[in-house]
Amino acid sequence: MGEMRYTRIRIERPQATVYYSEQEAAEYSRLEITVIRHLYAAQVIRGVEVVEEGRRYSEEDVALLRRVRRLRDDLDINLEGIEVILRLSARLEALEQELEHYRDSGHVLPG
Amino acid sequence: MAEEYKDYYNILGVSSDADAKAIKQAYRKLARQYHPDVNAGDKTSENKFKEINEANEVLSDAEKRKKYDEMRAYYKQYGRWPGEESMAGARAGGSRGGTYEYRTMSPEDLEDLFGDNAPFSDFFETYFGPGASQGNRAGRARQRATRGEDVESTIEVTLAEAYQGVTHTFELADPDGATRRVEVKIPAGVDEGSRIRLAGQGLQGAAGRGDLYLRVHIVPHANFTRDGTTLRTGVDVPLAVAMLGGETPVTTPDGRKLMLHIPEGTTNGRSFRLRSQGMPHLNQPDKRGDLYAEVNVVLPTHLTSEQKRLFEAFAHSLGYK
Repeated sequence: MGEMRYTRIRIERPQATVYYSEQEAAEYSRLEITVIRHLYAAQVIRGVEVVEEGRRYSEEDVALLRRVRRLRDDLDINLEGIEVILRLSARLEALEQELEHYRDSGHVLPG
Repeated sequence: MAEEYKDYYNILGVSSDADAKAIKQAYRKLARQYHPDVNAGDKTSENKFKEINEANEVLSDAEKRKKYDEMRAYYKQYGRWPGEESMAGARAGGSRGGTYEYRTMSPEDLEDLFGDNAPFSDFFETYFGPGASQGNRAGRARQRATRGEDVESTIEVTLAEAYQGVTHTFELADPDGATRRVEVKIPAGVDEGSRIRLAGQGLQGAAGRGDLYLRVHIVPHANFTRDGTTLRTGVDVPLAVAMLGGETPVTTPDGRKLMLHIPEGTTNGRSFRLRSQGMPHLNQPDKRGDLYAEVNVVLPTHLTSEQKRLFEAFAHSLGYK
């Protein structure tokens, strides 16, 4: 009989992360659960599906939710406006990264 | 040393008898202009917003505002803050501490906006925010630190395993080299990116371990493509079966062979649906999607001279010359 084989997983700090339940995400962002669900459905926050346990949210998702709450409460922007701002911000960030990558690869940008 | 005088009313541009609504309006107006969420990376805006936020923190809280108004009146009369020397002495002795809940922003908000930079002035810290620097790290971070952090790792799952569900044994290796084995049930229907949580198998903290999340990567299959619970596969059908009708086997991911009825005159590329033979729904393993089998008509090659003659006769009967 052959030796039994196992998949080995290293529990290491660089892989450390934090996932929050919906209730925790609401608590740490001070947003209502209905708003969180709306933003998930609108794909503003990504969330992850945990098998047999429902949806959880990453640290980045919760930070984004806090930003949503600040934009709503501090700046009086409605959810639709916030969605537009966040999508444009993400697009801008992606373009900046693309530009940086382009520069790093030695390309000269047209003046 | 005397704390720098902070005229919070002036910072928000409101009179000292402004009501709560006027203060809120003034804060929002200025926040629109200087808020770090809309001025990312702009230090001037950040510093200006710190002042605005601090003024709002005090003036929008009735208790703090009352205290500030009393202090302000005292300052105007005597040119110094009440109890200034004792407060300075207390600060020098490092006696500030304890927790503090901000009214307008959570510790996480302050960390999001200002990182490790102090979000409040010395004046505010001294008179309104004891333990503010500790407060900035309160809440989630401290709570999580005691429990140990979660860890995420990717595991590979074949389509056949995802089709049926499987139990795998994993050997978990801690940073100190200690190992332990755990059996994990991977339920039928898991998909790319699904997470399986193993409670209490993450990093060790003072009050127990965090969780281990196994992120599923589905190994691509040579014969099947998956779209949610729908599976697609190709099925070779001999020319004679396609023309005259018959049956051909379709193999499922778990190795079963289903006989597919091929009606006469079946064209190349036609898809047949095998109802409820696709991927199971996660959490509802009895409910499955459909499997689509796309016909690939296989032409006979290396015809004998007799077969060629017969095929020419057949072609002629269809009007080909």
